[in-house]
Order: sequence, then C-alpha cells, then structure tokens
Amino acid sequence: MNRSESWRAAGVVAQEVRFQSFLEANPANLARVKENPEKISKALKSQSRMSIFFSSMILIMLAVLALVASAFDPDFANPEATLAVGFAVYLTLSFVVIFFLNLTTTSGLFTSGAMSLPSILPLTRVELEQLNFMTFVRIFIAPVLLSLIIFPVGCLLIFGPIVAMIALVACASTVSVAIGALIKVSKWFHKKTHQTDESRASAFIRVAASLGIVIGMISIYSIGSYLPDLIRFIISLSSTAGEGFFTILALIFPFSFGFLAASIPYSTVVPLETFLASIAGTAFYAGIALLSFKRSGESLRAITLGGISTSSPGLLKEVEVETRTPLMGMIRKDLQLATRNIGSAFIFAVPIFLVVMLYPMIQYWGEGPMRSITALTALEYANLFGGISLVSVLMFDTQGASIHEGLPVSSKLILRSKTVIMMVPYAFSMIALDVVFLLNAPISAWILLMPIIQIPCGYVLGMTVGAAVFKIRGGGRAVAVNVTNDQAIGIVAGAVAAGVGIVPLVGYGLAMMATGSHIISITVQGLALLLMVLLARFQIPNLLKD
Amino acid sequence: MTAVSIENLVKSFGNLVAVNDVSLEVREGEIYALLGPNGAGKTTTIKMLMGLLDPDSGSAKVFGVDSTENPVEVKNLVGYVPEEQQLYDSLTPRELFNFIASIRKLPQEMITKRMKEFVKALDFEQYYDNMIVTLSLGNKQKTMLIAALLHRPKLLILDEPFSSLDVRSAKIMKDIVKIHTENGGSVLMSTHVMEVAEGLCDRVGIIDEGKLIAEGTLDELRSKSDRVGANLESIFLKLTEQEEEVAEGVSVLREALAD
Ligand SMILES: Nc1ncnc2c1ncn2[C@@H]1O[C@H](COP(=O)(O)OP(=O)(O)O)[C@@H](O)[C@H]1O
Ligand SMILES: [Mg+2]
Repeated sequence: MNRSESWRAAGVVAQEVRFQSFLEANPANLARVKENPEKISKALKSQSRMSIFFSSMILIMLAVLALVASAFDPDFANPEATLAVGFAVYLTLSFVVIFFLNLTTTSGLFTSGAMSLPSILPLTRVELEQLNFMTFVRIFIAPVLLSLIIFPVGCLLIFGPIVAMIALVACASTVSVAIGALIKVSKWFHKKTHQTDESRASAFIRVAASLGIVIGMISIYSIGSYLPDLIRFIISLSSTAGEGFFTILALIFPFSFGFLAASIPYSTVVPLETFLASIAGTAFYAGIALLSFKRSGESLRAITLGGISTSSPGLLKEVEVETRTPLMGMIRKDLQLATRNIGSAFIFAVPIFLVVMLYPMIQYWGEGPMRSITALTALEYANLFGGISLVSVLMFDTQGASIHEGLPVSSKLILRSKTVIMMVPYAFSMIALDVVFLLNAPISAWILLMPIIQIPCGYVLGMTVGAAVFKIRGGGRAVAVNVTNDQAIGIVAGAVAAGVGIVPLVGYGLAMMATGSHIISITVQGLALLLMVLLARFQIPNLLKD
Repeated sequence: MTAVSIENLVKSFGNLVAVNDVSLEVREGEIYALLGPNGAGKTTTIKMLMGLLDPDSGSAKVFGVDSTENPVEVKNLVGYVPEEQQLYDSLTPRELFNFIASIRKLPQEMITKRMKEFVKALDFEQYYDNMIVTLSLGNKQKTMLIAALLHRPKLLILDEPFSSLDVRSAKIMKDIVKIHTENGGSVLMSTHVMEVAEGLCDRVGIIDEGKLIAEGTLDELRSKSDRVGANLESIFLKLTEQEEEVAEGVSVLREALAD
C-alpha cells in the first residue's frame, strides 16, 4: 500500500469514526439511523463541515484578537508582559478549543471498532500503523493546520521571523499536548461508557463536551471585548504580586513561550532572569510535547492492534429496581435525561454564559467603582436566564408522555422537581455574579450581599414560571413544552421571570433612593424575597390542577 | 364493587361531539372491550376516565374514585397503556423502572423480586440496560406493559393494545390480559379489531360517532341485532347501520376493479 492509497483509505476510516461519534453523541440519532440512513449521513456531513468552520473561525478570531491586543494595546505600560500574556492566553484558549471541539469525534475513535476496521485487511503491521496515523491526521487536520499556521504567520507579520519561530514551536507543543490529552480522556471515556457498571463518567463527559461547544460559541460572540480585558486582568494581578512574579510565570506553561517571544522585541525591558526562566520553561514544555506526541502514536497503535479492554460488554448486570422518594426519583430521571442530550446541557452552561456576557458589559457601563444600579441590572439579566432555564428543564419530559399519563404524580410534585433542578444553575449564577462584582470594585461591600440574598429567588422564579407555563399550555396541568417548536412559551417564560424577579430588585432600588442606605435597601430586598418565597410556597400550588 | 363506572359522559371539541352521553360499567374480574371504528371516541373516553381530559358533563369513576376530582388516586389504582408510545427514548428500561417505582413508592425489595419475574417471563433480560430508543417495537411494548403492571393494579386500561404488535407479542399481550383476570383483575381495552374483541373479551361495548350504541356479551349482541350465529363483524355493521353503505361501496369497488 503506497502513501496515496493509504491516505484515501484513511479517509474512509476517518469518515466512519466521525459517523460513530456522531451517533454516540446523541442517542436519538440511533433511532433515526435505522429509518433514514441517508438523512443521518447528510446531517453528519453538514455537521462536520460546521465543526471545521467553527474551529477555524474560533481559532482565527482568537489569534487575531490576541495579536491585536498584545501588539497594539496602547494604554498599557508593560508592553513585554502584554505580549507574553497575550501569547499565553491564545495558547490556552486554542488548547481549550482543540480539546473540546474534538472531544466527541475523538471518543468515536474508540467506539465500535472503527479504528480496528483496517486490521481485518491484508496489511502489514507497518502499513497499518501508517494508515492509523493518517486517519488521525485526517480527523484533526483542520484545527491542527489552522493552529500551526494562523498564529505564527501573524507573529511573522508583526514581530518578525524569530518570534514567529517561537510561536510555531509554542503552537505545535500546545497542539501535541491537546491531542495527547484528548486521546487519554477519550480512551478513559470509552472505557467508562462501555463498562457495564458505571455510566456516571459518561454523563459527565457528555456534559463537559456540550459545555465545550457552548463555550466555543460564546467565545465567538463575546471574546472581542473580553480578550483584552482578560489580558489586562492577568497582568494587573501579576504586577500587584511584584516584578519577580513574571519570572515565576515564565516557568509556567503556557507563559514560558510568551515570555520567550516577548524577550525578542522587548529585549531591553525583559529582565535576564525572566528570560532565562522562559528558556528553561520553553525547553521543558517542548520536551513534554514531544514525548506526548510519541505517546499518542503508541496509544494509537495499541488501539488498532489490541483494542481497548473494557470489562466484557456481554456480561449482564443484575436486574434490580432502586427506589427513591418520588421527588428524588423525578430529579434523578431528569438529570439522566439531561446528560444524554447535548442541547439540554445548555442549562448547566447558564452561569458561564451569564458571566461571559455580563463581564464586558459591566466594564462598559460605568467609569469608577461599580454602583448598585449595575448590580441590579446584572441580577435582572440573571432572572431572565432563570426563566429560560426552567423552560429547558420542562423540555426533558417531551419524550415520555405515555409514561407520564399513567403515573400518579401531582402537578405540584412535577413543578417542585423542575424548580429544584433549575435552582442549581441559578444559585451558581448568583455566586458567579458575586465574583464578577468583586472583580469590578463595588462602591460598597454590601453590594456583594445582593446576589447571595437573591439566591432564594430561584425558587420563586421556578415556581411562578412553571405555573405560568402549566396554566397557559396545560390549563393548570403539568405539561412538557418544546421551545424549539414553541418559541412563544420561551418568551413568556423570560417575561414572567423578568417581571417576577424584578420585584425585590425594585424594592432595593426604591429603598436606596429613599434612604441612600445599602443596609436598609438590602433588608428591603430580603424581606420582599421572603414574602415572595412564602407566596410561591403556599399560593402557587393552588393554581395547579391534577 | 364495579371497576369502572362511566355515567352520561360528554366531551366536545368545538363543534365535534367526540363522546356523546356514554354510560358503561366494567365489572370486577371481567375483560371489557370498547369496540369502534377510528375516530369513534374510544381514546377520548379513556382519557377522561384516566383524568387526563375534563369531561363537559357526566362522570367517570374507578373503584368509586372520581376521575375529575382525584386523578392522582385513579392513576394509583390503574395500570394504563396509552395508544401512542412515547417512552423516554434516552433512558434504559432500568432507569425508567427505577423512576416509576420511585413515583409509585413501591418497596424496593419486593419490586426487585417482581421485576426479576417479569424480565424472566418476558425474556427481557438482555434489553434491561439498552437505551429504549434502540428497542424494537415489541420490546418497547413489553417495557410499557411492565411499566403498567409494576404496581399490580386491579384494573388494566389498554388503548388499542394490539394495533402494532406482531404475532408473538400479541400472544404475550393476550396471555397477560388473561392471567391478570384469572387473578381477579379487570381489563378495559379499546380496539377496532373484531377478532380481538370476539376472542378475548367477556363483554363488548360498541361505540360509533361518540355514542355507545350497544353493549353486552356476544350472545346478547347477536339477539339485539336479530342474527343468530352471526359474527361480530356483521353485528357491528348492522348496529352501526353501515351495512348498506358498505355494500354499496363494495359494489362500486367491484366495478372499478373489474376491468
Ligand atoms: N384534542 C382534540 N381536539 C380536537 N379533536 C379531537 C381531539 N382529540 C380527539 N378529537 C376528535 O375526536 C374524535 C374521537 O377521537 P378518538 O377518541 O381519538 O377516537 P378513537 O380513539 O375511537 O379512534 C375524532 O374525530 C378526533 O378527531
Ligand atoms: Mg384511539
């Protein structure tokens, strides 16, 4: 088998790998593939094109923004640190992008023997290994090539050939480490999902993979304003820690590459010890990357020739039934459903989404310290998201109508279980907002209490939005809704949540205008919430019907 | 005590009266079939009985529990297999049964023992941890059946239980229905298939355009339609006054197919 034959065969295997991972990622596809295989393979093609497009877009944007931010950011005094940190931030983000965008595909490498497909062919061991390697290259070629080209070329144009060389080494190392990590994680993932006992890990990976995709999307939209802030933030954190801190940073991946690169154009500014530290770091991490590259090759070889041992999949687990309380049983079922559907993972990403969206906004809203009105606005955004996440929880049940119709569940119990699930991302959103507030130097420390006090509002929002949806779509009976074909209900949910959630915030605002005291305002907010929690607890169930 | 008592039940959708003043009883220990063509109002009647739809007037009770007033209790008493099969596709039967047993507050040990028996009897063990979406129609039906029988309900309500089953699964379904009544349980099923009603059921209620037009054992229905020894099909056509219509349609068809 010569190289070009090998390359073509690798294309077939790569296609099969993509197909398997596509099926694995979304269980519903398994059903459709039986009925309509052409449709699935079409969907797959367009999806893989989309994912290449997205990887490219994200990498290009990250590279351009990192370069622009590190080369042309005029209002900063440490240009060498700006370049170094910009470099490092790019490397980190490209690592994240490569890792997460390819996680589902890579796990397909190990499923149902797509990679062992060629081993039944009359090939020699060497030919097999070559085929393997090429398959792998074909799967990752787009992000790898992009990553190896874009950033170094940018560096060449702006900083000249030496920096570009360093950038190339840095990118190659990052890619190698990212792919090494990918193979490791995928292998472990495959093992976990195909062992008959535990599937918790697989749920975790699915959520992580979906989060990765969501985060990737968010980066596209918001990184423009976010990246320079991130660079500035890291630098200001470091410079408060003292000059020597940069030297320590220079020892750490991926800052080593950044400081080495920065030493070229800014050789006069970078202290000698930082320069030496960065050389040591760079050599060390390049070595590790090389090792990781070799290891990946060995791993791949092992997959084709030996397969991954999972505990025998033919072994049947004992038939048994595990019961919980009705509420916990309901929540357990919803979480199982949520982790098997990439789309539902949105709800877990809500806190991240909020922070990424609000952080730059808060920066632009005002000069000087952060005021209460900024906090109130941010919290109101969180309310809106809370309403939408409740509707996403209601979507889980669209699958199981036949089961639900026969079960003795009261609408109240359903509402409570959905509310409990929705409260978790809401509480995390509040904590995340608190951190955002802290980073933005609030005018009074009392402002940091506002999100914490607001946490019980998750309960109020869940109960009211849920009751409103049940009332509108089910005449008071619990119903499942699907926002993808019923967008109106999504808007209703957002509106109800915004309208209800604003009450304690308005209470805070009015008290602030009347008294100017943070303590009194926070008390008013807390009391309003207390009242609303009680109302939600005792009045809302009366609106429902079984 | 009667298992099901439906009195003067009425339900309209806009101008269409889907269920028109239906009254019927299912006695304890009997298999009752609601027989009627598509769109007759069978599913609508059953949904009102299950408390899933509110009737315009009239009442439906299961073992004396009113379906409108206390639907949760009704569902506690009944094992219900609805017409459409929308199971949780991405759960496994194990996860689904864990969920159902939790909701029904069934004691863990007892229910595990019972599940083992079900799984063995239905030859279901190798599907217990497969995602429901990957199951065949027959195995989905088995899943649905186990789900409905898990709490040993005294009343089974099956809406068109045989419409999508192959011979083997249909046999299993019939056996389950028989065993259920041998143990003193009652069954209310709807069907548009004559043979099912004829072979399996103690009493039949014929429903057409929302009205219950006849009710009784096969013999009672024969005498009502003045046809000795007639099968259910001709009784059905006579009672629904479709005999002439059908005959006319057949002769037109005969011409159309002739040359
Ligand atoms: N939700 C609904 N809205 C409007 N019409 C309905 C609805 N449900 C049922 N119908 C109509 O009521 C009639 C009876 O339906 P159904 O009870 O499902 O019949 P069957 O189960 O006997 O085939 C049919 O004409 C059907 O179109
Ligand atoms: Mg029907």
